[in-house]
Amino acid sequence: MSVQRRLDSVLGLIGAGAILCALLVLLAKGTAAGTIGGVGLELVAPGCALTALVFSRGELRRHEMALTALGISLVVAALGALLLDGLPGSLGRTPWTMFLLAITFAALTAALLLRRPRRVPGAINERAPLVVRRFEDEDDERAPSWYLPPLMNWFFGVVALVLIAVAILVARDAANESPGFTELSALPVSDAGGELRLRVHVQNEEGDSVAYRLRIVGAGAKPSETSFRVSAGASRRILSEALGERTGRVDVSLYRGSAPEPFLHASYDPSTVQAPVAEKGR
Amino acid sequence: MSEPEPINAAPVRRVTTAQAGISRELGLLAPIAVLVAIGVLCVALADAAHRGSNGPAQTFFWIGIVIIVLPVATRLCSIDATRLERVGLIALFGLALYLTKVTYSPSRLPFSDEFVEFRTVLDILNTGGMFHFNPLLPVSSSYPGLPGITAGLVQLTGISVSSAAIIVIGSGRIVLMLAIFATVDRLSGSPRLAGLAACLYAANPNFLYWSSQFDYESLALPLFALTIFLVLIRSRRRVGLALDLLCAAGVCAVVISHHLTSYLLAAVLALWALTALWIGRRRPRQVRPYAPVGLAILAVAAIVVWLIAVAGSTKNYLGSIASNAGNGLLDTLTGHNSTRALFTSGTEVAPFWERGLSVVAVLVTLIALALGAVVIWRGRRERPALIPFLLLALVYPLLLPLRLIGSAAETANRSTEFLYLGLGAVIAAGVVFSQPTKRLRGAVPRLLTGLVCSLIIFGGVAVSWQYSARLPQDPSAEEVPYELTPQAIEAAAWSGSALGNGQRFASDLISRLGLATYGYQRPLYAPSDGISSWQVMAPEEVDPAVRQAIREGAVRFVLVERRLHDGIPTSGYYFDRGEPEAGLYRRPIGMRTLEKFENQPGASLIYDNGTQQIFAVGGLK
Repeated sequence: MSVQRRLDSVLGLIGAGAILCALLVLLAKGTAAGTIGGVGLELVAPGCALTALVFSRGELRRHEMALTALGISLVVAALGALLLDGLPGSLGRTPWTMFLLAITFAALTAALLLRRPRRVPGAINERAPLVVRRFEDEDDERAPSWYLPPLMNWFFGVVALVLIAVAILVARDAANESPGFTELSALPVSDAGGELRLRVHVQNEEGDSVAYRLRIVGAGAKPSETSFRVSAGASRRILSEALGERTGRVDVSLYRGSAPEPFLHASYDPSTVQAPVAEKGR
Repeated sequence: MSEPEPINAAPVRRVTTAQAGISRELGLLAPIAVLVAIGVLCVALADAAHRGSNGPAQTFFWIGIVIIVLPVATRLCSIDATRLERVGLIALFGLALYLTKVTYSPSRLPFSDEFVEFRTVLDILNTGGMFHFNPLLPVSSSYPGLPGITAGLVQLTGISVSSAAIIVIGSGRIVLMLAIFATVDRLSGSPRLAGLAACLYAANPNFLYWSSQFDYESLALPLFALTIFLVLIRSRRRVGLALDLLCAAGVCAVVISHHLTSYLLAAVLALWALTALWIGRRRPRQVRPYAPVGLAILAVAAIVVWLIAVAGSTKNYLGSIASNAGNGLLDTLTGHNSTRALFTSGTEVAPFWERGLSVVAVLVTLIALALGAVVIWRGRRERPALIPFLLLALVYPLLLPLRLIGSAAETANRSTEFLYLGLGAVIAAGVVFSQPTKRLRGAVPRLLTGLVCSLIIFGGVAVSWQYSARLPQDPSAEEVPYELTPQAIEAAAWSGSALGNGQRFASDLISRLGLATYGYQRPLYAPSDGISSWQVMAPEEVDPAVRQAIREGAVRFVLVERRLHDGIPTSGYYFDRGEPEAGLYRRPIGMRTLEKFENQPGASLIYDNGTQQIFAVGGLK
């Protein structure tokens, strides 16, 4: 295959890959395919296209092309985010997709229009190192004494990937393990009749079904006590009696089963802010 | 730089893809990859064991590190590996050490500095715009390179911020390792030196965890290395408008990503341009070397414009760090301050064997540096481009004494990320090309040089992160927290859903990270609020001073972490670097302090999960 045709096919491949990635982004967001598409579109495609445009003379080695493809993609994404921030439409998914596709195809079009032969006869050897004399015993391409047949390389490569996957799964499972706990919260709310009550919320994160006993003192004429069971991961909401004109403190205690001592507390003092309002910005 | 003359290389066996196939070029890469993967698995098991407080986790950790480092370093010392194999080993090595950070906490960002960028990404995702006030570190939102890329990836893929962060920083890690290799390879003509230089860069104490975390510098450094490589390629061309534009884009990307890295890039480009102009004047009849004058001017101009238009707070931020380091140095020199104890972090002292390993590694590094300096200086006419690496490396021994000064130790430590770009190459030259090692032939000496390189890297790992925090915390352990527990995350998330976002909170150091991100709240930030969290949290009683702090800081809620009573943080403080007892605690903070808001008129306990309590303190004004 001629150099020109090979370059054309590489450019075509990059373009097709970018379109495929964009389709995956737009149609399969949140799936593994969508993730691959997003990574390809942001971290691979623009860099590949710009590398094909700027380094079409064969002056880079394979690993250097991998470096520029990945690195230039990061540069494009960093500057692109800044550019999109200055344009109307915000930093949403569609503007990102359009921007990355535009950069990729602009670079590919320019590369097609400006394509050149790989080497200019008589030009300097651009792949040569910037040295006058090498270190002793050094050479660019040396035959290794030890190497494996292709099948063994594949085998070992797959084994390494499996081990890495196992390592991440082991670490993830350990990180996701959590000691069981229960959440108790109590916030004042106004009911439909406009009366102030205390909304008590019990969330069970113990990993098992738990029997609770809730005691509220201060709201109503006499202490109220409720027993209930909450299954693992579930929650229970309880509204206290109307607080009425009482201005005293309301204490909420949560017991585990028939235990004599409460293990969680909440309280409400009417002098505190009753209905928290979100405060935006600084 | 002048055009190179023909290279006088000895004829050796050559291998090409056509002759022997890619398999032969890969050499021993695949079996070493299996060993390295086993090493990563060992570290993951160590992480899991430490979370469950089971078994000798630290031993597993070190076994994993040895299995990752030793085969790669030894193979890179070998003469007969191909360039492709070396590239593969370097990429593998960089990623494997990065994975040791990922396995620390694969589904969440664990380190405190990561929450700063996490918050900026959330701001971008929630508002669709950049440059919002970041209550964890306001200056970081003025450098939106990393959060911009990460927010873009979240938008495009729908994955979580922490997953996107892992992918972006991992990509940066590959770029960094390949850029170091490619640059040293081009400048020295030696793939062996290039491979070892990249490998030994990992000996910098920040490589394992600090540079792997989701932090703006972790992206800026790879972009810096990439830009230098692009300028190097540009120097080989007579014309190259497109490449000039690409180099300019690289410069701008670094400027919007991190302050110090951009200053270093401007300095490197300026020195490069001045040196090339000087050489061009001295040798007028020869081809003039490329001088990146335009790029140097662009870098300086972009930095100035960015400082004026966007990142004005950088001056105060860096100024305070520099003045602290300077004052500390002055106080120590004048005898007002005692020197800092080495290998200590707050109240913690590293084990004896790790301290010994670190000292030996520093000594070996200094010896290798001396040998490498001789090699590079003697070959200055054949390989003049390695001289800048030598100059950078020679700063390393000068900064070592700063580690004895409390306020300057951090500066000395952080500088290693940049110094090792030169130091790695010089040590590598010392290890493989100095007269003593050149006389050694055969497999055993090769193994010995591999061991020396590994030892230097182990020394870097030993001082990378404080001993106890090098592995994740058991969330059920009765000890003061150094990372966010699931309960703390739930408490922060509850605050966001039940109280609304943006509420002004006072809390301890770790809890504020969760509040600012999972709760999207507005924890106190002393420099802009004028009130520190410790003024609300540290006193034993709700006295008038506490009420005044609540009033002046417009604090509406307080989050109390009851496990603070279980120990003294290794940082030496609970709430804020400025708290009066910082570094002086001899016993844990008392329960009286933590329980002072309970039953207090004007305060309501609105949330309790056993370890975290949230109080509404609006009535305490």
